Amino acid sequence: MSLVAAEGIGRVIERVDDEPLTILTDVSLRVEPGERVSIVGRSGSGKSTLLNLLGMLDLPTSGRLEIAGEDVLSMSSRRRDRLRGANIGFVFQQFNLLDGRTASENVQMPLVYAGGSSYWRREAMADDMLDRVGLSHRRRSLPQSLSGGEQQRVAIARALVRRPRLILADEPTGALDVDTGISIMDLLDEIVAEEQSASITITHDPAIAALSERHYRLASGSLDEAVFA
Amino acid sequence: MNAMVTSVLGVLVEAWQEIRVHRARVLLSLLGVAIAVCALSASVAAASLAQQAIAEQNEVSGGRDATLSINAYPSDASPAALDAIDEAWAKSVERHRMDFVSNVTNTGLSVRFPSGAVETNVTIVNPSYLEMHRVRLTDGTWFAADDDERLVPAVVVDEHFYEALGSPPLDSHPVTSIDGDPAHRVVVIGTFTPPYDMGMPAAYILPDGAERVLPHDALAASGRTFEAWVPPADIDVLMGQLEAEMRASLGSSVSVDVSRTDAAAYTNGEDPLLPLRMLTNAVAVVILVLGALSLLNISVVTMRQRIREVGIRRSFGASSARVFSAVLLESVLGTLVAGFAGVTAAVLILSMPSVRELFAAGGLSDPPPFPMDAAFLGIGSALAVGVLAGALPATIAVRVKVIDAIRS
Repeated sequence: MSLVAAEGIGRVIERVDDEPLTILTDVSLRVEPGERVSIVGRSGSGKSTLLNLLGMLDLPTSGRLEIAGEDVLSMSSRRRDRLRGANIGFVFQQFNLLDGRTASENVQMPLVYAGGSSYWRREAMADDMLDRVGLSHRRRSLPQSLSGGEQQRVAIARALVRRPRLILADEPTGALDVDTGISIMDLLDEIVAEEQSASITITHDPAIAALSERHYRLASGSLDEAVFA
Repeated sequence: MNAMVTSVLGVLVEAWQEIRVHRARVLLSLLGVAIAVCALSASVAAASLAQQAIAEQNEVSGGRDATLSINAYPSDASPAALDAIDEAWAKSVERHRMDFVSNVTNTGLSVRFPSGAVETNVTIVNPSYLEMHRVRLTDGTWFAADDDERLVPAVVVDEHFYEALGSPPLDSHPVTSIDGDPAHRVVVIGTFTPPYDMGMPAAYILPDGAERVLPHDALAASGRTFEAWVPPADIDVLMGQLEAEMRASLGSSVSVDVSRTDAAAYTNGEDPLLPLRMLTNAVAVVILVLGALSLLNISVVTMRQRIREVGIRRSFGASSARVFSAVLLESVLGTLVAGFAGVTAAVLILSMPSVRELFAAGGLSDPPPFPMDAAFLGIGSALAVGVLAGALPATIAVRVKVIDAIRS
């Protein structure tokens, strides 16, 4: 069973006073557990839209999409929320940490929705994950007092704290300098490998994309396999 | 079960974190609610206290709920006729096991003061009269059971009487004389504040003392008046029974009249403060509505600024129901805290000595604790405002698309 199985999915946006806008057409993609996949493309090529569809933040207007063997289009919104929370971790370009909360509280946030023992052990689990990204000494720090690299490491810890089977990273190095970006990607790859999670990284940087096992290029709403030397 | 518990606790944790992180905004936005709840609770409580003051004033003059009065006038004003009335009344008191009864016969007599003899209003009472009519003692003591045995009958006097006597220390057992042949002496054991200033001295005296010092003519002319403080549910039946018993016992030579004297006899259960209460409540409700609108306005604006945070939470598994609950609970938690603060402020305001003195001046001698209905109304209103002011931003939070929220 594939972790992600997208068959001919498309996304068209209806506009009130204009023609419908086609963003994605007939995209097919399979990702197996533990695989690392990258998707490159220019700005406006539909990369983020594809990532949002794979993360069930948005729904395709055509095609078939299964996540962890479940048909996304036929399930309820509540079920999608649960499936997303339990199986998918997001890493955003702009980090998207919650203001006013410490690094530890940010990492604990997904565990508040996990329930069960994860809820009760959330502080210890968050601190453990911060330790793994090398930020145990900053767990009481607020986001505004952290550097960009540190914020992204907190975001990675948050994405991985529920041990998701799939990490979706949307331009994870886009807001960082080159050296910090590479160290962040090394860290992300290392932890994803340790956790035996799969990852799909969206980037416009071929050097970052080359770090993955399989590469795709998204252009004009279509996805094709790409080869990086 | 565990999932439900953690879900509920999770919502509380989220709501509390939000209040903690944005405490300055939350405090400012809730200030209006706290003031409104304080105004609402204080006005309701003040109206209750005012009602209690009026009730006490009524009880001072007409007796407590329910007080009945029996007047018996013999056509033959002989000592034997008065004794027969006393005997018939004693039998009725025993038969109906009435605990709070008193002789309440008014008469007038001339008392000798240093400045000369002055006509004085004297009321013959039993010790129970103190509780039945909330007599407010200002100094000294009220009658005790053994005061009947005093060689010199005891009297409790008002300020006019006391001042006319020269305001002597009560522990010096001041004595004065009542005009008559022979003149009798009485000793002042206490002073009281009369419910109404009649511009002349007034005094209370026990029945046995009255028999010894008052002229028989004065006693016979006044007949006998008794009062009983009985359960309100029994009064209608009891009035009929007492009248029948007294008439049967005394015969046609004594005119017997039974009536109810407490406030309920002439207010018909209506609240004399209703118009004032409605006015103050209306003002408080307007303040509450303004506070709620202010909170709603701030909540909606704040939610538009927090929409990205909602998107982030949704991307990590928060369901729309969970987000709705958290936003709603955040509002409810905040307004509940504001409600408790408002009610506490109202309690403190009404406990201030200056405010208590104001009510005491209005006749309130037995101030009740802060009315629980006012406290519950304040907390309930705060809860309702929290739900109303939280529902709209919560709806906004769940209606926005997750991807739009994250990009905002």
